[in-house]
Amino acid sequence: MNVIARDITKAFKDATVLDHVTVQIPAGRVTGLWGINGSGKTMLMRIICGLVRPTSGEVLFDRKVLGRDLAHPLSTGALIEGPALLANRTGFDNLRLIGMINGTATDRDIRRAIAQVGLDPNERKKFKKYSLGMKQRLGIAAAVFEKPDLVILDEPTNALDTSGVEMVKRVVAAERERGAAVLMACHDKSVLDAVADHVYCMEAGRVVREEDPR
Amino acid sequence: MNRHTTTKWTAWRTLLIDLRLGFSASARWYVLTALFALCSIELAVAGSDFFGIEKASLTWADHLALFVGGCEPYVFRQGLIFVPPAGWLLGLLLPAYMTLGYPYRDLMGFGQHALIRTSRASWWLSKCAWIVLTVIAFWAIVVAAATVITVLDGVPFSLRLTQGAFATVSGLANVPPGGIGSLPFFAGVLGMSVALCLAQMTLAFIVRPSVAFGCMAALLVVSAHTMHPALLGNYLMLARLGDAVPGGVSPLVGLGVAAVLAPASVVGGLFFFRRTDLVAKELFA
Repeated sequence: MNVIARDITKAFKDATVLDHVTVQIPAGRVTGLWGINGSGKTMLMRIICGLVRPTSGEVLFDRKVLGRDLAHPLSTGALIEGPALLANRTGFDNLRLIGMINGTATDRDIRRAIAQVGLDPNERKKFKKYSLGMKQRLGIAAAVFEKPDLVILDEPTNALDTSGVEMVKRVVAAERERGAAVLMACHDKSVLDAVADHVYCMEAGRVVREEDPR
Repeated sequence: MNRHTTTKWTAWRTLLIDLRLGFSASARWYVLTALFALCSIELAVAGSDFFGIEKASLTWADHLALFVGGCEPYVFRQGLIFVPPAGWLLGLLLPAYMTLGYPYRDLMGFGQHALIRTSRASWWLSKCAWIVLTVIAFWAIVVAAATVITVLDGVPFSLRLTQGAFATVSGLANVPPGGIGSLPFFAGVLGMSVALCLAQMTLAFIVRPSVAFGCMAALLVVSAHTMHPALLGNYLMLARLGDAVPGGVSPLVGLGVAAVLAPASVVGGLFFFRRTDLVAKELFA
C-alpha cells in the first residue's frame, strides 16, 4: 500500500503547525521524519492516522482519500506519543484486546511480536509495572503485531538503551522486508540514517529538505 | 498482504471490548451503588415512620420509588433556605459519574488503537451503547436493592405506588385509595436517566468532562429547587409526579422528552465527534 499525505496544512486558532507538507510513504520502504521538537512530525502522523483532521490537503491510501473514501486508515499500526496501553493488563492481554478489533492476529502473531521486541510473551507483570523501556518496546510490538500495510512509529527509540535502539532497527528492517510502508519520526538523525530510505527534514511545520541516506 | 475485516464486524468487536473494559473499570462503582441504594431506601423507609406511615403499608414499588423520592419545590419563606435533597442528588449523580470517565479516558488512551482500526462512528456508537447498558445495569442494581428490602420487610410485591411513599417526600400529594400505577414513572426515570447520561457524554466531548458533569449537577439542583416541566430533573422525582402531585410533571411527557433527547445526543455527538481533532483537553476520573 502506498500512502501520500498531500499538501497538508494544519492551523489552530493561534498557530499553523503544518504548512503545505507533502510526504510520500511507499510500500516496502522506510520513510523518515526528522526535526526538532515542535517541528510538526507528530501532528503529521496524527493526521495520517485520522486522529486529527487537516485544515487543508488530503491523505491518500492507494488513491483513496481518508475521510472521504475511507472512514479510517487502511491496515495501519501506530505508536504515537508513547504507548497508549491498559495499565492493569499484561502485555499479551493488551495486544490481544487490540487484536480483537480487526480479529486478524492470532495469539501466535502476538507472541512473536512481543518476542521480536525483546520482551517475554509469558510475562505476567501488568503494564503499569513495566519500566519505561519495556513500555516502549510493547508499544512497538502493538504497532507491528497485526502485520499492517502501514507502520507509523513516532520516536520509537525514546526511553530505549543501546540494545533497544538496535532492536528498533531490526524491527523496522523486518517490516520493510515484509513489504510494509514504514513512517518513522526520530530526533536522532543517526538512527534515521541507518534505517530510512528517504528522510523528510522538518522545521516549523514545513519540509525544508529531503535526503536519501541509503 | 493483510487481511481486512468489514466495518460492521469491527464495530461489533469494539462494543465487546468496551463492555469488557468499561464494566471492569466500573466494577467498584456497582458495589458502591448496591450499598448506597440499600442505605438510601432503608433510610427513606425509616423516615416514613416520622410521618406516621407504617412500614407494612409500603409496597415494592414504593421502596423503589423512594430511591428517587426527591423533595417538594422550594417556596421562599423568611429564614428558610433551599437545601437540595442529598440522597436523591447523589443517587442520580452516581450513574452520571460512572459513565463520565471511561469514554474520555479511552479516547485519549487505549481507544486510539480502535480509532486507527475502525471508523469514528463505530467508536462513538459503541460508547453510546456502553452508556445505555451501564445506566440500565445501575438501575437493575437499585431494583435488586429495593427487592432485598421488600423481602426483609415482608411487604407486598405490588407495582402500585401508595400514599405512604408520597407522604414521605411531599405533603402535597393526593393518591387515590388503590394507589397509582408505577410503570410509567419508572420507565420515565430510566429513559430520562439514560438520555441525560448520553447528553452529558456529548457535552463532555464538546466542552470537557468536568464541565459536563457540573452542568448535570446544576440541572438536578435547579430541578430540585423549581417544579417546571423544562427542568428535566423533575421527571426523576417521585415528589413531582403529576399523577399524584398538583402541578407535577407527567411521566409520559418525560419519556417523550427522553425519546427525543437520547437520539439527539447520539446523532449530535457523532456529528461533532466526526469533525473534531482528537487532542486531550483533560483526563478526568
